[in-house]
Amino acid sequence: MNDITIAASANAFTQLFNAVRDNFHVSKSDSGNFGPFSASYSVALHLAGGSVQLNNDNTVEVKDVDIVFDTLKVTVCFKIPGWCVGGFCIVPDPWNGCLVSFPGFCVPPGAGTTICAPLDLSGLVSEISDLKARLVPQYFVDPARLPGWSDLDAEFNGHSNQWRIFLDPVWVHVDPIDIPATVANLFENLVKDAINNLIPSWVPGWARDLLWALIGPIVDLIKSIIGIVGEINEWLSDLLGNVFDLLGFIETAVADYFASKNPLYSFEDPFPILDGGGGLIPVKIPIRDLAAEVNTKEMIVLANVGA
Amino acid sequence: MNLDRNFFAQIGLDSGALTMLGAVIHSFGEPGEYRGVVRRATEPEAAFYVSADKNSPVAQVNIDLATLAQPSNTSGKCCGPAEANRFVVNPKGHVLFHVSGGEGGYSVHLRKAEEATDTKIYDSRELGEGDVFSAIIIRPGTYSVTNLLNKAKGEIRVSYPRLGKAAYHPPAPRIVGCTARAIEPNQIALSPGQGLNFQIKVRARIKIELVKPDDGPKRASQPVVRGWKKPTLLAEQGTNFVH
Repeated sequence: MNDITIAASANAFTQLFNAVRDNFHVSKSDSGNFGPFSASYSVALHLAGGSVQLNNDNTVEVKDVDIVFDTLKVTVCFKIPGWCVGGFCIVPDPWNGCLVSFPGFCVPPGAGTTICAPLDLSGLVSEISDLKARLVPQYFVDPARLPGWSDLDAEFNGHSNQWRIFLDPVWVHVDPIDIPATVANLFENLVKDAINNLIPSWVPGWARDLLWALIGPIVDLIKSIIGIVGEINEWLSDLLGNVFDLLGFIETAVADYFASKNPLYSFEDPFPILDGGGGLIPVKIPIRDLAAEVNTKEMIVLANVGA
Repeated sequence: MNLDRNFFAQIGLDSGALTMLGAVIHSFGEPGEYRGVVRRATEPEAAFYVSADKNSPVAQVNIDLATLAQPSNTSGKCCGPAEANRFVVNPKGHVLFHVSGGEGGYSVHLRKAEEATDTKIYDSRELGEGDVFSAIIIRPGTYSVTNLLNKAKGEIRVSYPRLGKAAYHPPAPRIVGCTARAIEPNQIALSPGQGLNFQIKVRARIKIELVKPDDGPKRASQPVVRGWKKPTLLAEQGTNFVH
C-alpha cells in the first residue's frame, strides 16, 4: 500500500500530452552531393493533433499526430549539358562506319552549366502514424543546486529537485513525406525558369525555340540527368525522407523529446503541502519510490513519503 | 552563360570564307610535306604544316582555323611553326578545315613545302573534285544556294523547330552533288541543325544566302487580364476634398 496515490483521467492525460506535444519544435538543415546532382534542405517543424489511447498493458498509444513543416525548403542543383549540333558523318566508310565527321558544336562549350531549382514546400503536413510509449518516472537533481543547500535553501533559490514523469516511446513511426504530384510541375517550372535565365536576352526567338526543341520536355531532361525512374514527387519524398534520412531524424527527435526533454508532469521534491508565510517556513514532505502506470481509464501515480 | 553570338548571327555560309557552321574536307592524295596558310579575305593570318605520311594511321585530321589564327599561335615564331601548327594524316585520309569560334571568314592555301615552279596550289576558295563542303544551317527560312564558279543554283528550305514529345535530334545529313551543270537536288528540305554535305565534282565555291527568314508561328500578344480592380480614389490622385 502506497502512501500517496494520484490519478489523472484519460481526458486529463490527453491534456497533459497536448501541452507537451505543443512545445515540440525542431529544425535542421543539411546538404549533400549525389553525383549527377546536389541538394540541400532546411526544415523546421512542430506537432499538432493526434489521438491518445491508454492501454491496460501499461502503455500509451498516440496516433495520427500531424507533423507540420513550418519550413521545408529544398534546393536541387544539377548540371545541364550543352545544346549540341553537328557530329554527323561526312565521309562514310564501306562498313557502315564513318571516315570523316563534322566536329560537333555545343553551346555553351565545355561540360555544361549548373542550374538550381529552389523548392519551397513549407506548410506541408506529414504524420506520426503511431507512437507507443510507457510512463517512466525520473528523479531530477537540479544542477544549479549548491552542495551545502538544504531543501528550503533550494526552494528559496528556485532550484528544487523534482520528480518527473516522462512518456518514454517504445516506437515512433513517421509516415513518408507525402509530396503532392503538383510539386513536380513546380519543379519543372523552376528548372525551365533557370534555363531561360541562362539564355542571354540577345538570343533571337527562333534560336530560343531551337534550343528548347534540342532540350526537349523538361521532365524528361530532369529525369535523365538526375536518374529518376518514377515520379518526381516520389523521388523528392525519397530524397528527403530516406537519402537525407529526415524521417529518421524526426523519429529520433520525437522519441528523444518525449523520453527526456519535456516531462508530462513534474513536481517538487520535497513536495510543499503548506505554504510558508507569517514567519513560518513551508511544510514539505519528501517523496520516495514514485511509480507511474496507466490503464484504459486513467494514469495513476504512486509514491511513498520518505524520511 | 557564355554563348558565342556568331553561332546565331552568321546566317549565310560560304565555302570560300568558312565560319562556325561550315567545313571543307580535302584529301591530299599523294604523300609529302605541305605548308598551309590561313587567310581571312586576302590577308594571311597563320601558317601550318601537314605531313601526308603513307605510314600514318590517321584518316581524319581536324584543323581549326580559328585556333591557328589566334595571336598566341602566330606571334613570336622566329624559327618555324610550333607543334600545335603541325599535323599528320595519311595521304588517302582527309583534312577537315573548320572554325571553332569567332567571326571566321577563313580560307586556306596549301602547297608542297618544297617550293618548285610546277607546285600546284590548293585554294579552298575554289574547291575541286573530291572535296566536300559540309554545312549546318540552324536558322529557319528559305535559302538560295549557288556555285559561284558555274552559277548552278538551288533552294534550301529549313523548317521551324518544334517542341516534340522527345528532345529534338537533327536527322542524318543530306548529300548534295555539285556537278558541271547543276546542284543536285536543287530543292532541298532540311530540319534545323541538319547537316548538308556538298560533294564537289567540278570547280566550286558554294554560297548559301538567306532569302526569306521563317520566324515561326506568331506569338500570342499579351493576354488581357480579366477581373475586378478597385477603382483609383480621387484622393489618391491628388484631389483635395473640402469638408
